[in-house]
Amino acid sequence: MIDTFLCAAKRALFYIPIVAIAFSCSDKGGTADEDDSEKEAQMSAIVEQYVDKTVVTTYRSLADESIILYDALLALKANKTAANVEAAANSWVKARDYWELSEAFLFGAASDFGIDPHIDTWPLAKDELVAELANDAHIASMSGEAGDVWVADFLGYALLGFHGIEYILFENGQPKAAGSISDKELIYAAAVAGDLRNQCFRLEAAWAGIDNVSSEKKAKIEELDMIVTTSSGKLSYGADMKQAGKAGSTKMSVLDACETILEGCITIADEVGAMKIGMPYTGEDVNYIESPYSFNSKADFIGNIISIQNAYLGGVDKGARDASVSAYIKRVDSATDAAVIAAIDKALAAINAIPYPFAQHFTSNEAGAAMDACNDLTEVLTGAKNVLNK
Amino acid sequence: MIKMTVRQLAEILCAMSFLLCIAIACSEGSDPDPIAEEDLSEEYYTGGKLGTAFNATSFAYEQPTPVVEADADMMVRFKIGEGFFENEFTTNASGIRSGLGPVSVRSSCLTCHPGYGHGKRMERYRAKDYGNGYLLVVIDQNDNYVPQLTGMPQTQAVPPFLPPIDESGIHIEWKNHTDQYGNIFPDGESYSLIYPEVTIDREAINVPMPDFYKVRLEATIGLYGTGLIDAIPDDSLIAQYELEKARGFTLNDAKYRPENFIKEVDGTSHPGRYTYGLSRGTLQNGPGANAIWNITNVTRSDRRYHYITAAYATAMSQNADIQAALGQTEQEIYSYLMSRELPAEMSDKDYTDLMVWHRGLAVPAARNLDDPAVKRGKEKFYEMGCIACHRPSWTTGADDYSGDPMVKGHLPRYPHQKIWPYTDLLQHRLEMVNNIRTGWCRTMPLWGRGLSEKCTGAGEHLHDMRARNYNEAIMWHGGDAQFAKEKYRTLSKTDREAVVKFLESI
Repeated sequence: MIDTFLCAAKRALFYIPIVAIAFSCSDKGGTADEDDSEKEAQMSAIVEQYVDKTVVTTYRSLADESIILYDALLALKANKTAANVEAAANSWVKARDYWELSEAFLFGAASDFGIDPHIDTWPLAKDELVAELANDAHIASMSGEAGDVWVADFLGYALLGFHGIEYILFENGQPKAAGSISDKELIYAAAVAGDLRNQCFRLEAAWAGIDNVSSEKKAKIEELDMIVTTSSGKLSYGADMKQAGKAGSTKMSVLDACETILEGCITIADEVGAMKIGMPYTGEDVNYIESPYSFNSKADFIGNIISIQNAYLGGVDKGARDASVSAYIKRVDSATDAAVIAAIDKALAAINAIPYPFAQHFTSNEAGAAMDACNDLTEVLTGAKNVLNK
Repeated sequence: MIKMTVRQLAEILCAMSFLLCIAIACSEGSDPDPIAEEDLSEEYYTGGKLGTAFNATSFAYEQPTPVVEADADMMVRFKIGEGFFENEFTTNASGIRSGLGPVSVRSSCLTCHPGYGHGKRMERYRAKDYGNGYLLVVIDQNDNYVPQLTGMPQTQAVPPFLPPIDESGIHIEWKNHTDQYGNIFPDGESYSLIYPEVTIDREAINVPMPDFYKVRLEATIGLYGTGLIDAIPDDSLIAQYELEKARGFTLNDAKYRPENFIKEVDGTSHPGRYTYGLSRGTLQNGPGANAIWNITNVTRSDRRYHYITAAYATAMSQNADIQAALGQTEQEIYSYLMSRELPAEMSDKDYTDLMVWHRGLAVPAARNLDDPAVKRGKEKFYEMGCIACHRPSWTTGADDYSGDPMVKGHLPRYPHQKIWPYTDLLQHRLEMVNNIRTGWCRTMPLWGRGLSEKCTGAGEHLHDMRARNYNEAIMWHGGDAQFAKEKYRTLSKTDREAVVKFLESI
């Protein structure tokens, strides 16, 4: 019934901006225009803050960590010690966390360039990996200086990205013993980590703009001839959001940009509740559990919800948060804003309460409660999106 | 009954908020703009009340219809089905989305339908390049498919098998084209046109080939709203054919002879309505229902065989390296590849969920229809006669969908909806250089295309994505659409831009 109501409400609210434009009476006092102008200014500030302090900040951290991960795998490949395994495993967890913290903004570069499937396809094609490790010619290509480029060109997404590296480094939630990892596995993992790094560079550059990344990142992107702008407007994705409503931007208005911010949040809240937790919990598909080698699933879920929190509250750094969707909604409908904040907190608490590891407790009552909390979050975020139109 | 009551209540409350908005926005004495009277016009509901999603963000193509949203169980099925569309199939022997191969066109649906839309214009052909929605069309002098290859040839294989075509031997060259007007409008504005020239090296093809073959590209199109198209009655398609025939159009008459209708496993037969070639008559045996099998070669209970040719099976089974790698005889390899009794790799339930998702995808609502430039563009679009082929609206029937008993009774339905796809669902000839196979091409639906770049990262048009924007797409129209193009040429720049703005809004 609530679905039905929301459905009808969404439909009606879609029109309100159109009607507001049609009935704005600029020649008779301008109140509506002033309101529109004020609303636009507020929303522009939200978008600026979102791009610079949530999206770019997160992708920069991800790209920086991806360098560390790649270097750690090179060190491990050169010297197979327990300390080097641990360093690589720790970096994998950190990089993974930054990636999960970005999943409330999978639209734009992550989607348009297919970077999401490129670096985060699950499950791993394990049978194929066995065949690749036995293929000496392929291993020779991976071990070369351009191994990162070779894997991107010749391996499928189900052999690339986080889960391929995870499989080599972890077992039953722990870093593997150094001696149990073969040389060929490390050649593969290092090449895949190089490609992962390249893709993370692309994410950061695509949002920040190619001239706003480090010289190391810029050089790699140029070497690989990576496109880092929108198709027709040739804007960075950050500029595309910030210039909403102007020529060249794919966003029709700042309202459109703000709706997209929330739509990104809604999509990942739904994904965590209905799919990542819901599929195994309900028994629909127990194979759905991601990051099973490292037992990182819970951290993945938490990262996703914090990603929503950062997007909604206006930045990764709690001390530097400014204009936000939250603040805007609070001014229009404080109850809805409070409901979103509470639903985020509740989802985080519910996920935290799932016994570790999720891979062994996905049928627990706590997992069911976490699924419900995430589904509730999806619903209140949908309501918040409607408030943006007011 | 309770649901209906709540829905009605919601509609009333929303209507009240709508009225309130009007009251607030307008100061005393202002005349209501007549545009507002049309605000809730049916044209905004591109997919009808039951099939339209009011979401114009980057996620616009991914939305469930109101029918799906209103049914909690169907919503779960929709999400599970979506997972099969979005994620990679693997060559794993077991587990989720396993069974890819032994040869495949792609590993995932999303690769060809980025952001749930159409494929992107590509500079090269690689099956794994994200957004590459191209299918290779390898044909002889008479535009018949070369029988040694499947209609959609594969370029990926699970070792030790070889792909029918090795991608390294595929070449796409984009050539400039100058049209009869020298690529210049009468007002002096110029445009550029490009088209693909595709070749495949003979040595890159792992089956014996005839002396002559040529290659064309056909790109995927978006998936949203295909369920609504399925709900249009066959009689309406035939009536449209007869109407245009009476108007003097040259049409592909053979398609409308009952003996040529597409026969389905449930005993029904239908005129074609899907694909450029009008080769599919129902969604339930449509491009998607088949693609999940023939693109991946993931078998299911009603497709317990591979999508390959006998020529390929012969070539592979006779290959000594493959025999040695598999430790099997020629006959054993051939029998495996050509078997009609392979185990099903995708369950009936999973397949049905995929079809719930497929039939459950909503069309994005139209936008900005009350904008003066959009209205002007619409006026010109109608005046120029574009609607002769890009028929604006259709009305669905009872939507007692058919085609496949396996999914019957499980899918969302859209009875008696007025929908706005802007296509006559017939084939016409546009007579362009390196034309589509046979020259006959189904009129492309225009709904939702204005959101393409936002949703997919690319906004090209036509069967091989040669047109980089609406303007180029219009200027590629020849043949049956020459008359409309000529009218477009003579419009002022402002009016041409208005036409494009209209197209972007529907």
